[in-house]
Amino acid sequence: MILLAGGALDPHLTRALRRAEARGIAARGLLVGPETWPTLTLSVPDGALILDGEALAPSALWARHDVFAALADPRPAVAARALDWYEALLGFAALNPGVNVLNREALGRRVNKVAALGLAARLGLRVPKGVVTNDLQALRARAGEGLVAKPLRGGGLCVPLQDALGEQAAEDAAAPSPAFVQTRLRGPELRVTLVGARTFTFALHTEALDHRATPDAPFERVDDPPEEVLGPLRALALAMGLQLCAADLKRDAEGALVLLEMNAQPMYTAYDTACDGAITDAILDVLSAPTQAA
Amino acid sequence: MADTTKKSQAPKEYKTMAIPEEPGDDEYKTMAIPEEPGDERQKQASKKAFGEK
Repeated sequence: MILLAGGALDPHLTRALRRAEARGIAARGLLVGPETWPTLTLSVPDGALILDGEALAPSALWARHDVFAALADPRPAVAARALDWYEALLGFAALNPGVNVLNREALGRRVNKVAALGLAARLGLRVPKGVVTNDLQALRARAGEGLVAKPLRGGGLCVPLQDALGEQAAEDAAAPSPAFVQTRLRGPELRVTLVGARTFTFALHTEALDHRATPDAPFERVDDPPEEVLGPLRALALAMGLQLCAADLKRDAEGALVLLEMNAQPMYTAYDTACDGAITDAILDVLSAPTQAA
Repeated sequence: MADTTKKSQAPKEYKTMAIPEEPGDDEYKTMAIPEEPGDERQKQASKKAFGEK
């Protein structure tokens, strides 16, 4: 039995539950809702799990840290609750090494974007040329070069460097926070979702510098990147401990594909719909694979 | 910021045994939804690339 755990508002989990039922795959949801949640007891250190009064011994676990509840309700308690449930599930995974846990090696590990780009480059991928800096004085001298800026930790969109500089006080020589400053790349943006050995590549057509600024941008399924890019992408996923992840790529001035970042908890429901649920099916296939020896 | 308001609310009666109904407009791509929730630092990140005083 596969345990699919996370937020009740997370459509990735709910569609996986529906698809598992349609395929006759034994699956059960552990879904934490806005106002209701299951009763859980995890024995420490033996790892026995009781869910709503029933002892459960799942063969596989997919745990997603819920961000949807906090989007619907920004109270700090909601985000804290999501983190508490995620921590409990990470604990279950750690105490049960024989369970087939999706992205087991990466769970709970924060992705440092600088480190990930460094690793990607070592594995043969092109990454954006740039710096991490807060040196406003130096950057103002380069404001006409068409560079872009984006936060190191997410939270804000990638913007033209000139716009980011405009947000800072004109008299300041150093900004409060360092950020990425990179060369501007060209679209369309490729989103490569990797699920085990399978890949699903979509091209996203938008004039926006950051695709999140145009949520209704059209997209289409396209051929996977060539092997000289796909091979290193697979190697990067392996090195990061990711069986499920999604890479964002654009092209540089030479037309070569450049990795923007690797997402460890991808959002993909629109892409999944566009390929008739094949991404969800691939995830269920990975979770249904025979358990590896502990 | 991208519009995140089109997400529909799921029923509140989820139990662990139940398979929820289709929540409707759930066609998320990657937009405006944190992909690296990792911890609470995501929520604390500044919207400005170079931070705020």
